[in-house]
Amino acid sequence: MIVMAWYRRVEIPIILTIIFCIFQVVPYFFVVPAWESAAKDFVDWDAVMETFALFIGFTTLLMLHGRIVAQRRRGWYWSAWVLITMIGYTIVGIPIPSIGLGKGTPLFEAIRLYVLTPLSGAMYASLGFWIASAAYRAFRARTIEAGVLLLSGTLVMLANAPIGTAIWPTFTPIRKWIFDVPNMATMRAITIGAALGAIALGARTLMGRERGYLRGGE
Amino acid sequence: MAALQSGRVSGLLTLIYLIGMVIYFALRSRKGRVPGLRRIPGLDAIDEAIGRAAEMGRPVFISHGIGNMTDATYGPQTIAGLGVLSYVAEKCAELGTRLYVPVRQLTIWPIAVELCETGYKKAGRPEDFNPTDQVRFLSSDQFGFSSNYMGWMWRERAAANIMIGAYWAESLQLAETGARIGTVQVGGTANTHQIPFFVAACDYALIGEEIFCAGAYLSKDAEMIGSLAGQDMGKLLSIVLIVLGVLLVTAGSDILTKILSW
Repeated sequence: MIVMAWYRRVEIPIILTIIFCIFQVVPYFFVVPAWESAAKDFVDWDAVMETFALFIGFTTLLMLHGRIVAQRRRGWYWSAWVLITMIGYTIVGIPIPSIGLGKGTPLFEAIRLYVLTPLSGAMYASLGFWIASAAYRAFRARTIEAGVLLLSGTLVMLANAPIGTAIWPTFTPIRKWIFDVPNMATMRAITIGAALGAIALGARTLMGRERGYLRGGE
Repeated sequence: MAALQSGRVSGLLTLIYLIGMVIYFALRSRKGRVPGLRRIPGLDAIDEAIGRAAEMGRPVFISHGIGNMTDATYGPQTIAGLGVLSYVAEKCAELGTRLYVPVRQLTIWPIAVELCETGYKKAGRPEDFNPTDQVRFLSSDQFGFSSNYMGWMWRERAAANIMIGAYWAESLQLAETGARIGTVQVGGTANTHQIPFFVAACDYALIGEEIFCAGAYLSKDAEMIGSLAGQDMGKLLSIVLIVLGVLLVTAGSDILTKILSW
């Protein structure tokens, strides 16, 4: 029990955070070649950890969807499909080129090009419809702020649509002004505020005060 | 000055100033001089949303975004989101509300599980927590994650959907799905292009820096609240530099630009 206790203490991840943070921050501001090399190594460690974490993903998906299928829960056939595609694509990705398996082989590339890419593209394209429904919700001018949003949104849309500029060419400079002045000013204010917030959060983390991400501060 | 990276001296000085201010105000708060904190309706609404979910017998979804923890820009947003997850997990456990956590980044899955587990333990209900069922790795693909999240939320008829962290194009898909189901939604991100989507589709939106103070706001910890005053001193410096810069550039001088790029 004592062995269990020491490595579960939150001080250990805080100390590790401080050490790795120093290794990243120092070479950013100071010319220390040895540290630069160490910092790069730590970034590589992250990539290695990400790769190992694939097993976590594979295992959790297997456990979750395996259980859903075994218990015949609602929509179990979708879980079965997840398992079939996951295991199937894993097998296709095993690097044995002599039997046509592995990354870069025709089968692997065909699945990527003709299944994954179109699915991803379709999801991205559907954003246009999501924007339309969100715009409908946002453009109901029930407050002064919503009214301003409605007005500026309408002007930008008219400038973007060919018919708008055909009716009145001045829509284009109006759009440019909206983007360059009020929009830019707001974006910069939010960006500066967010950057300061991130630095303050970093300082609190290094002080060991921001512990929400560490077992709820326990 | 050869030991210093060229063009980063002013950045280093600003960082030292900011960290100094954060530490100073945090220590001042420890002595009892805690600054006042303005209300953030989005964070106040979290308790209300969990309570509503408990009354309706429907689950709470909480997401910490799709970014990882190691990126300099998006990492802090993820950390902020995980801080909120920690709070929400304990509240849900206390009220007996089902909690679901969709995860995209594999390295964050164990952290999210650990946070929820601790929340349930703190509430005295560790037996109610099922890690693989409640904290689910959905997909490392952006739209694979979002389509799974949307379907899951729809099937479970979520009563509350809390999204605080780094989001990209999926922000609107998730927020719109939540709005269609009729969930109470709190959305927050520092990714400027996604903020309008959360403002349009969520009941409450946290804008930019507000997500970074969530941990301090929810914990009511005096030192953490004090550190927010240090952050405000950074804002004050920014305002001074902007005004000074505008005046100097208008007068035809680029001295400030040269100093800042030193």
